[in-house]
Amino acid sequence: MMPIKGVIEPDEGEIMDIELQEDFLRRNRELADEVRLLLDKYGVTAIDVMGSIGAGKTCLIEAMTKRLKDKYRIAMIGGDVATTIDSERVSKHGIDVLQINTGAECHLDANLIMKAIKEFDLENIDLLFIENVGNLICPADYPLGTHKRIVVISITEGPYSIVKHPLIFREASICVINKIDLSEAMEVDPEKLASDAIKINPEIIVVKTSCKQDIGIDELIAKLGL
Amino acid sequence: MHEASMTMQLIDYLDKVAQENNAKKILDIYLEVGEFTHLNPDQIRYLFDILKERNEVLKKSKLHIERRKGIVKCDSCGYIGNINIDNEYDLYLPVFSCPKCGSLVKVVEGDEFIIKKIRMIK
Repeated sequence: MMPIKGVIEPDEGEIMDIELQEDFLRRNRELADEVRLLLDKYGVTAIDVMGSIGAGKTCLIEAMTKRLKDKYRIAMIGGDVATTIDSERVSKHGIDVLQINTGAECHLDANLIMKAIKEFDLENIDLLFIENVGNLICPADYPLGTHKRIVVISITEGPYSIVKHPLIFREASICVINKIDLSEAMEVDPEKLASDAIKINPEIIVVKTSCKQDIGIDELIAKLGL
Repeated sequence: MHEASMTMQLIDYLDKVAQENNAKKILDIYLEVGEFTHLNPDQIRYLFDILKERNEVLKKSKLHIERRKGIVKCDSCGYIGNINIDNEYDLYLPVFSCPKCGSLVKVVEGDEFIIKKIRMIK
């Protein structure tokens, strides 16, 4: 191969354009693929649980953990802007829990999850619940590399919580409608919420639950294939 | 929603590019932001204009943002194109079912936050 003759560079004060294709969001998706590879290598099934603050994400994780802890070795990663309240609640069930405090960020990202899973002994985990930061917006832009993503909404969030946040339902495989025992009091129709979710994502599976009344948890576990 | 962290990440990145290319000033930055992201161009511009004030390289720069339209693909029937926007509510409600056969579609374009071009002075 002939050596190149040289490089002509712009002079001092000259204008220069550089063309790039740098995609900041793609970086997260690529890292999410690496997370998935690592989880698969150790046979860990991971579930990203998303939803607003107070929707019942922690309560559902606790309810599933109670039922499944004799069947699987379970761990949990809890994401919040601040505090360890949720993680402490779940750790009472005798599983390994790691808290991620994002400080200011409104979502978890694949980079944080990569760091977090390296803190666990993955050989001894079968099932990993990741509770995302309470938010129906940002987590949608940041897949974490989990095998399934669940969106939890609750009756108390009113009748429009799904249609106001459509993008998060696009990638989720399950939509949990929680607190159905309050439908009448709130005058919110769970069937209408379910049809809104299916309109946005025709393949989404809707499960209606009341975590406090212990309704629908077994169905959710079955739909998760656990 | 996460415009602030994205804009800060952008500024760090631009600093790095300027340094690598021995550029004195960055004049123009061309971005493309996908329709299916939760990133609002107006908010990015607003934050950028505040943050650039403290930065000698970026002080005179201008941000040009283009919204990239979403494109989806259906694995069932092969459809490639735009999605339907539902009008039951007075909202922007994108529907990720195939306009032809109703299956769930995959997003081909619309998920991006891309830096396309940077113009700078040596």
